[in-house]
Amino acid sequence: MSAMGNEKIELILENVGGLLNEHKFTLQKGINVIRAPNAAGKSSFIKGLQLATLPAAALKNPQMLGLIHRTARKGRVEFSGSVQLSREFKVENDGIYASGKTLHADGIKANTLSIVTPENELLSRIETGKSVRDLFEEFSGAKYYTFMENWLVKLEKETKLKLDEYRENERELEQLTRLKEELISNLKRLEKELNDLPLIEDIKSAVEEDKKKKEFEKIHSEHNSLKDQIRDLQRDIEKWTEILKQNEKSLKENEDLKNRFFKEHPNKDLEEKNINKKIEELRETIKTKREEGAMKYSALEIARSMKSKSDFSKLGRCLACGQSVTHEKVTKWIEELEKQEQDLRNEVQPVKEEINTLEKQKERLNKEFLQISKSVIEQIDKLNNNIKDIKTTRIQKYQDDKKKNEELLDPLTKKLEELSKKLDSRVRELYEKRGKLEGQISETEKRLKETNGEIEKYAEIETEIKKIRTKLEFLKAATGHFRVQGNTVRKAIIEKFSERIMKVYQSLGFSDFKNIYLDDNFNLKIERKGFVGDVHDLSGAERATIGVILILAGKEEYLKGYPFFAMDEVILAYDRLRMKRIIEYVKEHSPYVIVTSLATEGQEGIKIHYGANALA
Amino acid sequence: MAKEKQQLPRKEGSFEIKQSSELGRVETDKLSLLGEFEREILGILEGRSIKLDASSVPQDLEKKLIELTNRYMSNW
Repeated sequence: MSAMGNEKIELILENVGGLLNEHKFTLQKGINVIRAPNAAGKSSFIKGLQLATLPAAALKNPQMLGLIHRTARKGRVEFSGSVQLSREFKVENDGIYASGKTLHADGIKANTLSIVTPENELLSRIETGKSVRDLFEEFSGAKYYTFMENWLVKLEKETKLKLDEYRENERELEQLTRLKEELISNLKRLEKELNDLPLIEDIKSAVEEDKKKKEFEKIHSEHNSLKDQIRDLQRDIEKWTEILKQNEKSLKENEDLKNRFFKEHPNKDLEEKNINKKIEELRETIKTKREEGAMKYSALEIARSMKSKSDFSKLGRCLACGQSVTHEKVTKWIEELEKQEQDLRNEVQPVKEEINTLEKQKERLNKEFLQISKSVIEQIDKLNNNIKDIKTTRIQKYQDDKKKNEELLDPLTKKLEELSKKLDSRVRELYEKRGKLEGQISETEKRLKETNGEIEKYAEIETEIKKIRTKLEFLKAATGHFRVQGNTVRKAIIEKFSERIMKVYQSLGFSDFKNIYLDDNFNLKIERKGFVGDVHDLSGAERATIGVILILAGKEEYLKGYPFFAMDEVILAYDRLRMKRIIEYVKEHSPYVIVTSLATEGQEGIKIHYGANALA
Repeated sequence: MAKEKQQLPRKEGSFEIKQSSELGRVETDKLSLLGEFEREILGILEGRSIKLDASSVPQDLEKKLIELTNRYMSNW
């Protein structure tokens, strides 16, 4: 938008609202009253302003399709003179695609605070007594604080979930650490016991039986070593049996997943084909309804045109077909056609939703099929190979080795028994004790080594847990910070705004209320004769007046310097005096004031009247 | 002995003062860090024409916010 020296604005609306093709208008500085009979495009003027104001993202919405003439696929809004702007529009099924800059950088704000129609969000909130918090947050910087507080809370929740995933690891790590401490303590005790045993050489009889002792010692050592090997092999067998079980469990889960999918979808291609067919049928339904709608609309145009032509009442017959018709008959015909057209429009929406559901169903089916046919089947093959490998190269091999060692152990045990009979009972007892202790020490050392290895695997997890805890601490503090700052900003908005509403109210020369203000929840409160109430205590006229005052205060606060203010006369039509005062006030603060008004009987098309007198 | 006993509470007192002033410093540092974080966040958010909704944040914005949060978190 750029301002020029000329104070007039030439406005071109092409296919906007109910106006088909190009229509030219001239706006003058001050008050512009747009007068038109019913259904002659009065609201099209407001729609033109909305098209010039709303951002592309807001227009890309099926609900916005009514801004462009329903038979047109494109439209245009052009301002020249004092304000310059050019926007073009293309109609698609999902909304309107706009090109070109808007009248204001924040189009949503400009639309709410400068175009007052019965659909205005701020006005309807006041009329229904709802809070205006989100709207005021959107117009001010408070939205950033609310957004950040919500975003940080969301992030905190996600981070907590991540920490929960690590909880199981944390418990396992605690168990391993306890086991390690227990093993170290056991090891110390066993080593002390071994050290405390007397030396063989200290036993006199043993010295005398030196030869027997040496042979016994040799066999004893071999026996111990073989027992160790058998024990190790048994442990390996148990370990790999456990791994085998896990693999088999995982295999079963994957196979269940695969079987469930193919049971639910025995013929995926046929299923997809049926969905596509259904979608095509539904699209065809929409197409038919749209064509029917276009026909109804053409008929409606003819009926409206007949009604507006004065010759028709004289002739008493249709100008197109020559049939005899009355004015009442045409009015009834228009009403019926409008209803039929609306019904058709209402019927299209559920069909669109059904198409959407089917598209999603198809997408889900393909996604699941892709997952099953790729990752699940690959995983099943991999697990089958693993299971085969564990069974043959691991468990079987360890069992064979264990069997061989056990066969070797038997003759050694017998020989050891024979030799021990020949030895001094004290020496024998000592050897047995020592052998037992050495075996226990070796076993404990091995378990300690394994436990340390397991603990090392958790080192990274421990660091990660620590990091997550710090993150949570930061997120909690940051959430609190944005909450406190947001509350401060919101409080400032309430104070400033309440002051502004009263200022505008008094400037308009009204004095019915002692005070009008926003409470902590952004609900409008009214103080009258010492009594504080809300909008429910007001009449319809009072609500509309205060709603418009709130919009004016919003425009002055958040939309300073914006050249337009448009209002539909119906909002304050029941109180001409108030409306005149409001319009006079707006004129002082907004260069171009546009008021749409119903034309007196007999007028055809849209006419613009200029100046305050045009309001009469 | 009596002299030592008399000195003891003063030592404890001075220790406590040092501790609380240290805590105060830490809290002030963290507050200024949050203030700095707030300024940087507002720098990213201000001037964005889209409606802000925490449940569906555009990818580029989410990426920037995560990066910034991680940076401040590592200094926490």
